[in-house]
Amino acid sequence: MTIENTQLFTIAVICFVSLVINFRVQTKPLWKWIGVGLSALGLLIAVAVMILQHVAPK
Amino acid sequence: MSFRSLKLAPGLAVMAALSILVASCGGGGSVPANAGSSNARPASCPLDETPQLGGTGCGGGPTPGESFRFTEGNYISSATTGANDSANGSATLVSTDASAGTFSGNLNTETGVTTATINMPSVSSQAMQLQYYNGNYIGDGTTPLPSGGSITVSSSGAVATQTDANGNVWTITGAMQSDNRTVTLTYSSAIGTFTANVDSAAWAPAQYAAAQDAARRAAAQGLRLHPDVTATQVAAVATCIAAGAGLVAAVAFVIPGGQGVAGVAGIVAGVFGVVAAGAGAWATFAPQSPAPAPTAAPK
Repeated sequence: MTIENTQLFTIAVICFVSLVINFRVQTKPLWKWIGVGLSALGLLIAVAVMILQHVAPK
Repeated sequence: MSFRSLKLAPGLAVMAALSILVASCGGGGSVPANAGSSNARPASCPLDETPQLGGTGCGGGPTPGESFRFTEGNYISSATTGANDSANGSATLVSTDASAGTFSGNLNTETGVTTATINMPSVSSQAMQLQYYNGNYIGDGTTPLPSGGSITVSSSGAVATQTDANGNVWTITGAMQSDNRTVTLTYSSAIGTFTANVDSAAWAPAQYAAAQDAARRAAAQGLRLHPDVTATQVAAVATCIAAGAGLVAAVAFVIPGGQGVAGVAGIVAGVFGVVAAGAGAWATFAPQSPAPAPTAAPK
């Protein structure tokens, strides 16, 4: 069972957009950085899975 | 380290002994044969002669009620001649660990039926082997049964055949009992039948653990509300939610006064983005659930 690269790419784009918005949004720093952190984590995971799928397809 | 038991009545057309050969048992070194015994193990006799029970010579006839006992390795075994060409034997695991294993066996050469019941310690890594001595010869290294090979035992039972060194073809049927722990092995051949109830936790601990693990997984699967939900589906749903939240965040971000909404929606998008990416990673790289493992044969 694998996940499609297109879906991973979609997730990565969403996380990236979310990351930018969270970074630019004027809100309390705690929530801002929580949002930034989560978005960055999601982006990181999505990109990592894409890379690993390419390097070591299962 | 090995164990041999049941030196049976001499002068029988079919003389058999059952023994448990326990390898890799913990604690203590191997005691040389005959060491520490009150009655020495009978010497191995030529094929045309029989060992004298309780003695060291060959030939002679059995006397009902006569018994002998010897210590070998970490075990004490004994055999007693009975009426009607029968012999009873027993063995007790005496010093490997706190939970002793026991063995009892019976042979009636008139009916050709031999039975053996083995109770191994519930927690043990000891390998076990039944050993069968046939013909008028008792001694080291005679025909082991089964002599290696393997048998697959599942809840639905399994059948294997094995030919011993004397040409006897044994049909081995294994069946997991309802307690999901006890495996009953039935050995049948033209010269007799015996059954052995084996605690699979001791007999095949790895397979037993795998079977229990599979049973737990199956039970957990049955308790799920939607057991057919896969990680891929979770990723798809989370992606949609994250996309929606991201869209809301983007729109709110460009609308004056929408910073608060954009912040909340951005966090929601981030959370579900992580869920989607994590589910995708799990779907791709998580180990597949192994099928319930069969138990293995005694070696």
